[in-house]
Amino acid sequence: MLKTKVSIGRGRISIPMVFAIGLLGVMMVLPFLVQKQYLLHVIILANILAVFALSWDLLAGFMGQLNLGHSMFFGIGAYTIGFITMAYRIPPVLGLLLGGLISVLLSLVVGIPCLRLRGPYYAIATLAFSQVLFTLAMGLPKLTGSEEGITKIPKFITSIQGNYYFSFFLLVVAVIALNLLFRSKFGKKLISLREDERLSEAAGIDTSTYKIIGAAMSAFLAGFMGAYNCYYHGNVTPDMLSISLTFSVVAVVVFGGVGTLYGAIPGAYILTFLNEYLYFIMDYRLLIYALVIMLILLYSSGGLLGLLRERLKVFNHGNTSSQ
Amino acid sequence: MAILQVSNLTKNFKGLAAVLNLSFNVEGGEVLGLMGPNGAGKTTVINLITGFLRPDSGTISWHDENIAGLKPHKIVRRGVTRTFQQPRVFPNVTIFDNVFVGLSQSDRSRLFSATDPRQKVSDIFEFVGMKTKPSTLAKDLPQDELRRLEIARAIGSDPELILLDEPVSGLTPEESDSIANIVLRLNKGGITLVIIEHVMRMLMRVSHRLVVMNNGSKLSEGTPEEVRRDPLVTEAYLGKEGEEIA
Repeated sequence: MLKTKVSIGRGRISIPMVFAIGLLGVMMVLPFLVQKQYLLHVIILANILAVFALSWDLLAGFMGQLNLGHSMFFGIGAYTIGFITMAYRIPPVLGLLLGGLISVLLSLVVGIPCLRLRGPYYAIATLAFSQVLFTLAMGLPKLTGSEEGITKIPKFITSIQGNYYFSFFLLVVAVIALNLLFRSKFGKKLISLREDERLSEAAGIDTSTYKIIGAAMSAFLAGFMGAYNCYYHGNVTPDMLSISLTFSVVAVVVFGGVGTLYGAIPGAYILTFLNEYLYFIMDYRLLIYALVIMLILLYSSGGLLGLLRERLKVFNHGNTSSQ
Repeated sequence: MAILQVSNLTKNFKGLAAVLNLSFNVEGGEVLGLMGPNGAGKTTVINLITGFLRPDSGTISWHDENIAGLKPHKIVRRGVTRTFQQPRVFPNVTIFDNVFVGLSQSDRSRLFSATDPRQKVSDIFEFVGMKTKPSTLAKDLPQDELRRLEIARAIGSDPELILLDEPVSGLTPEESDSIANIVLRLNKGGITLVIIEHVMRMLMRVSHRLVVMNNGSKLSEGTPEEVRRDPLVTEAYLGKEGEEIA
């Protein structure tokens, strides 16, 4: 826990809070300061990846349920929009919600049989299901457009600035919602599953039901962001169901800090910017991810955020000692 | 009146009987000590009663309802809770949250009048004599505080029966006395307890009755004084008179 606080008026707020408010202010005015639309585009991608990574962290980091096929929830959300918009015109907000809800249905299909069991079953089942869906997306060209995917999906928000603010809004809402969740009794019960599942049972918690609900919440967030990603790009391709996308979010969370809530945000930003600006070494992308993550973990098992916290503790301790 | 009736309970592990045709009752309001040498099957009995194991045969009646094979959380909701032989806590969360997550939804509590959850946790901590700050992570607790935290977590679910598995194991005599006092106060508050313990001083002090197990079966039953005088118990613990120790 960070102890560093500053006095503002009569109240005292922590330095990370001041930093967050400052950053929020900068992000709000950024579209007026930056002429390059490409930078805004990269930030939108980072925001989408950050929320998607938060959804993985909710399940794996906070609840201890490893999901190795998380891209399927993102992809199903995206394909939901693709299929619906081919046949109907629906309000985009309804589309986003439907993307989330169809992902919830998929999570129930995978989760109800597997999450009742302890062990690696859920991780294996999610991996298997995502591979099946990826294969179907590639192998059913009449339905999914195969590798080309489904294109010319009407955009939800047409301007880059509009998408910038909307993606930013989604990120802030997701962070606040998850923050509130993990402060609630329900959220604390979800965390108890990660800590000791048998003890959770002894504490009167219906662990199977909580795991299924937690997985459904995670899938909703992923599906919602998949649907938004589809609207933003105007297309959906099998890449959105791929295992490499799952490993990207795992990398983002491990890099930023598993189970830290905020760690996914710097993780997503750094990895997205690396991805976009080092596109010429695209083939070695996963290798670079692995190296960066190994370097971070060598210095702190809590990822980037853990490293920062440790440094701030040392800084605080130094300040206290010198007083 | 018996609130818990264990009848002909049997549990085998790979053909080896851990519990064999065991029967005993727990009377409402008593402290029942469950004793026996290592490997006698005592912890298995707790695991069977609390739903962590499913019996091969026999019944476990809780207020005349057979709860054998029910899931642990359903048994907790019926008013039966437990602690573990090795203290089990949620290590990376605060000690406050360790109790808070298991807090009963019911406004009525056998021991505490507070309805506000935070006040209730605070009252429970006071009851068990927790000295550590509620914001401390459970993994940072010393052994005796871990034991108190386990009991606090068990109390939080507002149980009618608590099964304590070696609650003073690894504690100093002073710390053990302090835990014994918590047991006596819980019992005074109307809570029935079943205690497994190797520390005889503790067991003899707090128990109204004792059930002695050996090789999965009941060897003896009675008041502490009756059990103390039972030659079968002496034999199980010390061997037959004149028997050579290998």
